[in-house]
Amino acid sequence: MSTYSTRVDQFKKILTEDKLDLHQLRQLCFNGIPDIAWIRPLAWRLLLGYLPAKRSGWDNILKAKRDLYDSFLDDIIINPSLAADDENEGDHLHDVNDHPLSLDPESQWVTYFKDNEVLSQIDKDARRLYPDMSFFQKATEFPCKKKGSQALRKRVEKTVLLESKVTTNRQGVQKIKNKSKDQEYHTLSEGEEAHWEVVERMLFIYAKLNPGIGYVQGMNEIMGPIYYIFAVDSNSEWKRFWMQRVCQSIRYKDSAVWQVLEDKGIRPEFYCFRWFTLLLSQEFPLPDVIRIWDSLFAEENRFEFLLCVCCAMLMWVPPVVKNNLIMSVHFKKLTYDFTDYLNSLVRDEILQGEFADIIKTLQNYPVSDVHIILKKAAELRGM
Amino acid sequence: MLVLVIGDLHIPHRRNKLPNKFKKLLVPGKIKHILCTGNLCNKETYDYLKNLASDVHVVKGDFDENASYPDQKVITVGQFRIGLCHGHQIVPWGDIESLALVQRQLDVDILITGHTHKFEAFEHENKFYINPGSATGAYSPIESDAAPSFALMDIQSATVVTYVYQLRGDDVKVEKIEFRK
Repeated sequence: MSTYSTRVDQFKKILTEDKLDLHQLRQLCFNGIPDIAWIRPLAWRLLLGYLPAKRSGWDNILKAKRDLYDSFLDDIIINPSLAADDENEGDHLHDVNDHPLSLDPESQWVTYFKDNEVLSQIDKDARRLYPDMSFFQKATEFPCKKKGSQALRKRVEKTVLLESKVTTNRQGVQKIKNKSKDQEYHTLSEGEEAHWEVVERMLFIYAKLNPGIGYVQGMNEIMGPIYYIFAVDSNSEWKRFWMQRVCQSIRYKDSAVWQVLEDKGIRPEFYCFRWFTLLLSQEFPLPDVIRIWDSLFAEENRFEFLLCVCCAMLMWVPPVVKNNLIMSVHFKKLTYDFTDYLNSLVRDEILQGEFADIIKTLQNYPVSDVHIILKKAAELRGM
Repeated sequence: MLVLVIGDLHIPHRRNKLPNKFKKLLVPGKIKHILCTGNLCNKETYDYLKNLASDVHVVKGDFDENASYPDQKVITVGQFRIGLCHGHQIVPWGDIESLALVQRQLDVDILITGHTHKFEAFEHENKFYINPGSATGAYSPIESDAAPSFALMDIQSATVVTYVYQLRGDDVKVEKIEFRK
């Protein structure tokens, strides 16, 4: 306990200094960040480079980034029906240039419908973000309150209009029969926004800002934990805008993944592809993911270290499973691609089992102690 | 929210198909709901509409094969109540006072009728009336050379912007009109 409280004190000391020592912070964070409400969000921001080391500039930078995000919202989420409203030429028929069925590629409506295609993909993934946790389904304290903003999810939702049939009986009396109201599942009242909708908006903005990358399935899984950490921050003024930083980290990730694949000349591999692209977020339960990310973000050479973690995962498959595994030819081949040192470590082991079993295990990584894995990975890095 | 208003196609009795220019404009994925004033008349035409948007509401015209469509319907879209009726039952056909009577009976904000094959969209005593005309330009006893037309409503919270598509010769002419509740 005493070591824990000293660690907490160390963190507090470092994070309250006027000019933060990033190097020292990295070293501290590498061994995990204590679970105290404000420490992790702040530390992650520093590690990801969202905030500079100098405390004095924070307010200005935050304001600038928030304003930037606000202006992105204004510019990027277009709503052609509102644009049409502004003209307001009265209630008689008049000619128009832009209309919903326009085929002109410069029409706002055409862009609107193209955006909807991307959005419907993002929507599907954002809705099922971390389904085991209630957090993402709850209302956020900071719903987007832009004038005339329309919830993004409504743009792609499938809806059915409520209809009632009109019948006339023999006396000529008309009756309007209401169909029983469809029992739609409403969790949030009007004007509220669930956390997953905030995530959806950020992903959409990112996809629009980076047309080269667009939206790739799985980005939501990376976004999830980062958003979660920042949103549970006890210091509430932070909460809204950090998406800039995430953008950059995803791009980081993309180029790293690209690099890895390029070096090894391999197509998306059976399991490691997912490990890399999702930064292991799918392999472990959320608390463990957060712990791994503490170390990842603390490392200057993030993706080198990620590689090490993956290697460590391979080498330290929990014993129960290990007994059942064979080091088949396939397995050797897959791991061969990883890194040389890995190979030397695993090569000696002769395991018994089949290709399918191994893949199955790796794709559904057994629950294990992340600390041991991280320790192994740190050793690998030191080699 | 985009709602397509279309009707009086009279396929296959008076026309064999929708004009090609219209077919090019009407593609799946854009429109969410369709309100049809009837006289499709066959099932294939209904299937075509269903293909454009999954939510299709039809009322019975005097030539429809399917007898199970209701005569009149009231549909709720956001704040608006919309009455839908083919219009051959409302005599004199297309008469504004008779239409206003139906509007009061159904207690609706917007009344959509067809049958006259003549496009109309106007405000009367603070209520809005739309007649999408005939989408194929089929003839009718009161309008011998009707221009093909349909309407598209963009419904926001308290405003409806109605876009009117009319085929004039070889060109599609688009106009719009706004109605505020």
